[in-house]
Amino acid sequence: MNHAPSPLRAAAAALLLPLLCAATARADKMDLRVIGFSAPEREKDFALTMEKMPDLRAIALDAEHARVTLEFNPADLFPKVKVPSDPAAILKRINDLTGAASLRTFQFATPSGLAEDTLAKVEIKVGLLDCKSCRYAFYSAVAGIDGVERATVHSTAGVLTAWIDPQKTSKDALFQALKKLKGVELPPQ
Amino acid sequence: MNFARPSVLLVALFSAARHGLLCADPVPNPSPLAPFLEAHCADCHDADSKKGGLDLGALTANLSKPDSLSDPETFALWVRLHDRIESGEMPPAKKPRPAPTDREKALQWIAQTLETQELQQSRDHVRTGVRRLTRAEYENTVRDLFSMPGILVQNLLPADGSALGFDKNTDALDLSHVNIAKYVEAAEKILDLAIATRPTPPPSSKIRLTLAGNYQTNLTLMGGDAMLLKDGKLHPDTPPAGAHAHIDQGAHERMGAFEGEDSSTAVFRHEDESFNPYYQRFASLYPGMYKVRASFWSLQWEKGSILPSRTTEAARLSIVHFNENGRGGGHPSTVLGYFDAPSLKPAEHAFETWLNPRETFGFNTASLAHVVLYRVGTWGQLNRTMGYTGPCIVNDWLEVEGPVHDIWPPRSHRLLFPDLPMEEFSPKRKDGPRMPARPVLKQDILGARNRPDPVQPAFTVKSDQPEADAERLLAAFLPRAFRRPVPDEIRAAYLEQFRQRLAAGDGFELAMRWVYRAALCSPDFLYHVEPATTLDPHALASRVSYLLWNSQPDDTLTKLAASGTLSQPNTLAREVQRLLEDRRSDRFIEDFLGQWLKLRSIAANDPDKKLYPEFSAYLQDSMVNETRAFFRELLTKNLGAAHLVKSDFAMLNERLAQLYNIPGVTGPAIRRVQLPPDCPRGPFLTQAALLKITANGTTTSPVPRGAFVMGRLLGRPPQPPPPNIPAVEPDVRGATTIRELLERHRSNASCSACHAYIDPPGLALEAFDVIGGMRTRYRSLDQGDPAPRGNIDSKISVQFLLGPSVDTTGEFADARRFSNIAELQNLLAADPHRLLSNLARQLTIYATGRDVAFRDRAALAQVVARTEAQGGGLRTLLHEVIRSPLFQTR
Amino acid sequence: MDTLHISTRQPLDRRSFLKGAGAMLALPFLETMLPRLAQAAAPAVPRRMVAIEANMGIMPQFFFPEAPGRGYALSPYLEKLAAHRDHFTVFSGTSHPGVTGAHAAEKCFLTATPHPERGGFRNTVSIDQVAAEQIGSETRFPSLSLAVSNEGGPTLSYTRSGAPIPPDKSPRQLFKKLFMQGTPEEVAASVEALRQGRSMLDFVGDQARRLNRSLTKDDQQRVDRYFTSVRELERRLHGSEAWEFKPKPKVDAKQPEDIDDAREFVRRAEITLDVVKLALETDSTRVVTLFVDTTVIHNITHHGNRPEVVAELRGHEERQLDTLAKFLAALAATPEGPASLLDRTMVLYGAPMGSANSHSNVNLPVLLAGGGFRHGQHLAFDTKNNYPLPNLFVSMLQRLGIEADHFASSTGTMRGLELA
Repeated sequence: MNHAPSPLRAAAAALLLPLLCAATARADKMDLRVIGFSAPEREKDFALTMEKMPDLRAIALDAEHARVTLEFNPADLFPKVKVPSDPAAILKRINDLTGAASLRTFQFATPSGLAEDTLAKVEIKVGLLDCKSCRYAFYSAVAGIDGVERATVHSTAGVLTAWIDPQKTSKDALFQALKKLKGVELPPQ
Repeated sequence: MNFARPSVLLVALFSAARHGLLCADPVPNPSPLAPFLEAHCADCHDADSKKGGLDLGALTANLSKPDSLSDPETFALWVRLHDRIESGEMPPAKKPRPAPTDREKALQWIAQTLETQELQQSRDHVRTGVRRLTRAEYENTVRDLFSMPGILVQNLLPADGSALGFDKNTDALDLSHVNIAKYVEAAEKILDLAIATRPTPPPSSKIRLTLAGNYQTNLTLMGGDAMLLKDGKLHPDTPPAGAHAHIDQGAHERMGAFEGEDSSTAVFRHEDESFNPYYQRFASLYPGMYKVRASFWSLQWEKGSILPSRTTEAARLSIVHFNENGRGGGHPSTVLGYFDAPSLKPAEHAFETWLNPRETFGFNTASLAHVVLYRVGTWGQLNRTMGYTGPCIVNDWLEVEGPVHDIWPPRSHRLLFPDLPMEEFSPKRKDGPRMPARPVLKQDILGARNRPDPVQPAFTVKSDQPEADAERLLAAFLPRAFRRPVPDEIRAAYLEQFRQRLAAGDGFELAMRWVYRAALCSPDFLYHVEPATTLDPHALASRVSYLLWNSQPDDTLTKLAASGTLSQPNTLAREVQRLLEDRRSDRFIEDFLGQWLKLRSIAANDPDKKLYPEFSAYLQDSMVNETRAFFRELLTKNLGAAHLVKSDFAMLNERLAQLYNIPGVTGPAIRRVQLPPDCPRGPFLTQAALLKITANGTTTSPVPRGAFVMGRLLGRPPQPPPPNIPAVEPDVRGATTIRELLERHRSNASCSACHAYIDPPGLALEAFDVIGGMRTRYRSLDQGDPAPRGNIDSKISVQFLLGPSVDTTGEFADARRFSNIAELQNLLAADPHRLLSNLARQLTIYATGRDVAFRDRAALAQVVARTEAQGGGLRTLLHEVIRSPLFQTR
Repeated sequence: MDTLHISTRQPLDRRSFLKGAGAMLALPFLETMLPRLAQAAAPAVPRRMVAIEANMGIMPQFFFPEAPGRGYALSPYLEKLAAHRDHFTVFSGTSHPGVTGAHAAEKCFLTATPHPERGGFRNTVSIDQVAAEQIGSETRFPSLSLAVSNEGGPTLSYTRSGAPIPPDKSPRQLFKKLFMQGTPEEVAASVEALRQGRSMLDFVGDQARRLNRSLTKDDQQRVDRYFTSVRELERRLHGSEAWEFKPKPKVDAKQPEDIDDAREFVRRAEITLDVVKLALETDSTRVVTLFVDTTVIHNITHHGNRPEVVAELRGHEERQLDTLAKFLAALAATPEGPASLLDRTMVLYGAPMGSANSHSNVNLPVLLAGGGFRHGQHLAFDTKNNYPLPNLFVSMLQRLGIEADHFASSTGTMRGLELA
C-alpha cells in the first residue's frame, strides 16, 4: 500500500525517517491455524471473507490441514494508534476483523507446533442432516477444545474426524462436547 | 263479557276530550276510539284480566292527566297499540273482526292524537339533536382532511354508546372530560405526523425481505415447521429437518443460512400463540405511503417431494403495530388482506398502503389447518418435515418501497403551512423564539436493519411576515376543518390567540400549532353543526358525505355546496352516485352493516374448539367480507329487498364455499357465485356472519336468532322478556335439544304471546350451527354417534359427535307454516314491501341520527313507494332517502 | 356547619418554585402555592376502597356457602380466604335491580344502571367516581381505574354522563406514573404544558359559548355538556399543576415488567395488585377499581355442566381467589397507626353474572373485605327475590365519610352489615 507523498509527509519523514521507512515498507507474516474449516465447502467462504479484508492477504493456504500464512502491514491494522509489539495483540486484532467479516465463523489461532505424526486421528459417528450449517455447528462444538488441531465433518458418511494432541485431550472429551449440543443423539460408536 | 261496564272507558275518554288534552282544540265530536276499544278490546284488556299486562282502562284514564303523552313510555305504548290494530294482530284472530270503517276511524284518531302531541313537543326542539362526530367519523375525517389514510386515532377515544341500534345519534354520543383530554392527545399525535420536519423528502428505500431472518421463523426452520427452498426446489445448503433436527440456531444464523435473497421460505404451520412471523428486518421509520410487492405460491409436500397443491391457498398479510421494541410476538395488528398462493406457480401481488412509524408486515398461512410438526421437548420425533405429508405455503419475498411521496412537503403539511419555506435551526439554542421539539429519529425495533439518516439537522417553517401568513393559513384551514365557511370574527379570534402565543415567546410553527390544536378540539370541528330547519348546502353536503363516506365532504362536493347547486335533484343524484362508486363508500357499508346487522360483534364469541375445530380467523374474516360484498352487490346492481332473505347468488371465496358445501370456488378472493336453485345460501338471513353473531360460540338458540330476524330484517322488534324469568342453562352433553328446553314458550299462554312471533324464524334457523354451517343433527361432546368428516380439512381432528336431530318445522303466528329453511325464505321473500320498509327505516335512522317520529311515517312511506315505483332496488332506496325531506331537514 | 380542613402541607415559597421550575415561567400563579382547602367530608383517618370485578363470573356452586350467619362452613372457594375469615363478609341473594343482559352487565357492576343490553342504553356514574368526587382531592390521584386486559378499555369506572374512563392496563406504566420522578425540566415542561392546555381549553370553551348562541334550547343543553367537560378538564389540569411541585413518594420496590399474554390474567392481576397496595400505602390514591378481563376463558365458562370443563374452570377461578387472598394478606400486614391498611380499605370483589353458563344476572357472587366493618358472616338474602346490591354501595360511601343516603336503585344501607 503506497501513501501518496505530500510536502508535510516529506517533512515528517525527514525527522522520523528510520521508523517511518520501516513502517511503510513492512510486510509481516504470520503462520496460523484456521478455525472454521468444518468441511471442504468452507474454502469458498474463506476466500469471500478474505476478500472483505484487503489489509489481510492469505498466501499459502492449506485448506486440508487448516493452515494459512497471512501477510499484512501492521500499521494498516492499527490506524491512528501505535502498533503493539506483542504478537498476541496483533492476533487479537486480526481475529476481531475476521470475526466481523465472517460473522465469527472464521478465526485464527497459533499453531500447536506439533508434527503431523504425533497427532491422533479420532473418528466419532454423528447422525445429522446434510446441512452446511449443521456441519459447522458440530465442528464448532469441538474446534475450540484445547488440543484439537483441526476437524472436519462429513454428513453423508455421518462422521466427525478430528486430529488431536493426545497429551491435551481425548476422544471422550470430544464425545462429551458433542453430547452437550441440544437435541443431539449420538448413534452407537 | 261485561255489558254493564262500558262507561269507565267512555267516561275517561270523554272527560279527557273535554279538557281539551287530547286535541289541539277542544273536541267537538266524541272520539271514535272509545266505542272501538269497548267493543273489541275491553274484555281482555280491562283492570281484571289485564292480558299482556295492558289495562286499557287505566291507560285511557291517564290520558286525562296533563302531559301524560309526554312520557316516552306511555307514548310508545300508544304507538304499539296503533300498530297492533293496524297490522291486524289485534284483536287476535279468534275474535270477531272489527268493521273496516270503525277500525280506520279509531286508527286515525290515535294517529292524529300522537302527531299532535309530537308537534306540540317539538315546538322548541329539532328532531335531530346536535351531535359530535362518532369515533369512526372522527378518524375518517382526520384521515381525509390531512391526507393520511392510515393514521390511527380511533382507539385513543373512549367508546361511543348506542341509541336505536346506531351510534350516529346524540343520545349515544355523550362527552366527559375524558373525551376532551383524548381529543387533545389525538390532536397532538395528528400534528406530530402531519408537520414536515425536513425540506427534502425522507430517503425512500426499496428493501427485499424474507420471512427467514426473524427469530420465530428461524426457530420453525430449525425444528421443521418451515423449510427453505431455492428455485422451487429444496435448498442445497439447508435441507428440511428429517431424521434429525437442525442443530444450533445461532450457528445457522451466523452461517447465513437464513440470509440469502434467493431463498424462499415454505411454511407448514399456522399462526398460533407461539408463532407470529413478522418481516422484522424492516420497521417503518417515517409515516407515508409504501409500495408493497409479495410473491406467494403453494405446494403439496410429500415426505421430501414437491407436488402440486390441493388448491390455491390463502396467504395473509397484516400490518403489525409494534409496542415497545418489538420483542416477542402478539403485537397488535390489522389484517391487510388475503392473497392467492397458487399451486407451484408464484403469484406476484402489488399494492400500496400507508404505514405509521414503528410498523412492519406480518404473515400467516391462513388457509392451512393448525398443525405443529415440531414441538419443543420432542426431539425424538422421527422424520419431522421429511416424514410429513401436507400442504404448504411459500413466500419467496416481500418487497417494501418507501416512503413514496409524489410531492414534498406532503399534503398533510401543505394543509397547515402552504407556500412557506423551511429553515434550519439549532435545537440547542436557548435564546430566541421557542422552537418545536425535534427528537432524533432512531431505529429501536430489534432486528430491523433499515436506518434513518445519521445526521438529522432540525428544520422549521419560516415566515417573514408571521401575522399576515397566519391570517392566510387560517383563512384556508378553518373552513376546511369546520366543513363550512367561517365568519371573519371567528378567524380573528384564532388569529388573536396566535398573536398572544408569539408574544409569549413561541416561534411561528409552535404558535400556529397551538392554534391548529385548538381548532381540532373546538366544537366547530367535533360537532355536526346544522341550521335548525332545512339544511343549508354545506350541512347537506356534510350529511351526504358522512352517510356515504363516513367522513367530511371532498373538494368537489364542497364546491358544489358553495355554488348553491347541490340541492338540485339532478346534481344531488349525480353526487350520490359518484360517492357510491368511490371506494370510500366501503366505509359506509362497514359502518352501517356493522351496526344494523351487528357485524361489529362478530368476534364477541369464540366457537368451542372441540365442537367446531374447523373454525378459524380466516373463516371469520371471510364471513364479514361476504356480508359486506353482498350489500355492495345489492347496491351496485340495484337489487330488491327480497334479497335480504332469498337470493340466487352468493358472494363467496373458497373457504366459505367449503363451509356452505358449494363446489367449484377456489382461492381467497370474494366473487359472485351463481347458486343451484334449491340452495338456501346467499342472502343475509343465511349468511354465516349473522348466524355466528346470533349464537354464543357453543350453542344456538331460536330466541336471539328469531329476535334478530324480527327486529333487524322485518322491522318488528320483540318486547323485552318479563323480569325474573330464569335463564336457560344450555346442555351441550347432547341430552336435550333447545326446542325441548324452550317448550314453555309454546305451552304457556303468556309466553306464547310474544314467542309465537320470535321463535318460528329462529327454529327454522336451527338448521344452521354456531358458525353458519348446515346441520341435520346437533353436535355434542358426550352422547351421540361418531361424526363423518364431511369436507373438514383432513388435518383437523374431528372429535365431536352427532346428537339429536334438528327439527326445523315451525308455524308463524298467523298460521303460515314452513317445514324447512327454504320454505321460510319463500314466505319471507313473498313480502318484499315489509323488508324494504324496514331497511328504509333503518337507513333513515342511521342517516339522520334520530328516530322516525310518528308524524314522519308518511314521508317514510313515500320514500318506500317511490322506490317501489322505480323497481324497488336498494340503490334507488338510498337515493330516495337522501332526496326525502326527512334527510334534508333537521 | 362543616369545619374546613386546612392542609398542613408546606406551601412552596417563591424562590424554590422559581429555581425548580425555570425562570422563563411567568409569575402570576401564586394561587397554586396557597394551601389547598379540602372538604371536611374527608375524615382525618384516611379510608379507601378497592373494587375488583372478574367479568366472566365465578361458579356459584363453589362460591356460596350453605349456612347463613356467623360460623358458617366455608365454601371451597372461600377456603382460599380462610386466613381472613373474620375480615370479610360474603353476600348471597343480591343483585342490581333491572341489570340484565348477560355480559352487558359487566359495565354496570359499579353503576347499577338497568338494562345495559337495550338500545339507547346510557350508563351512569359509578360508585368509585362518586367517592373520588368527594375525597379524591386529598391525594395526587383522585382515583385509579385499572384493568387486566388485552382488549380495548374495559373499565368499571364511569363518569356522571356515563362515559367510560379508559383504564390503565400496564402495571409498569402505572408504577412510573405513581412513583417515578420527573426531572426539573420535565416538571417545568409539564407545568407549561398544563398551563397551555388550560388556556386552550378556555379558548375552545368560548367557542362553545359562541356556538350555543345560535342553537335551539335543547341543542344548547347538548353543547353545554361539551362546555362542562371542558371546564372539568380545566379544573383537573389546575389541580394537577399543584401536584407537579410535590415530589412523588419513594417506595422500596422495583418497576414491574408487563406480561403480554392475555391468558396470564391471574399473574397480571397479582402484579397489578402489588402496585395498588403500594399506591394505597403511600396515599397516592384512595379509590381504585380493577376490571379483570377473563374473556380468554369465556368458552369454558359455558361449561354446559360437562365435568371436565367445570374442573378446568375451577382451577382458573381458584387461582383468582388465591390472588385475592394474597392481596388481603399484604394489606393486613401493613400497619397504619393503630390499625392495618386492610382495616381502612374496603375491598369489594365480585362478578356481574350469577352463572356465566346460563348468563344469569341474579344471585351475584360478591364479598366485601376490610374497611372497618364487623365481618366474619354470610349475609344470605332471598335467592328468588334478590336484595338490592346498591345498598352495599351506600354503606361503602358512608364508610368513606361521605354523606350519601342512596345510590342508583338502593333502598337504604346494607342490612346486617355494621361498622366495627
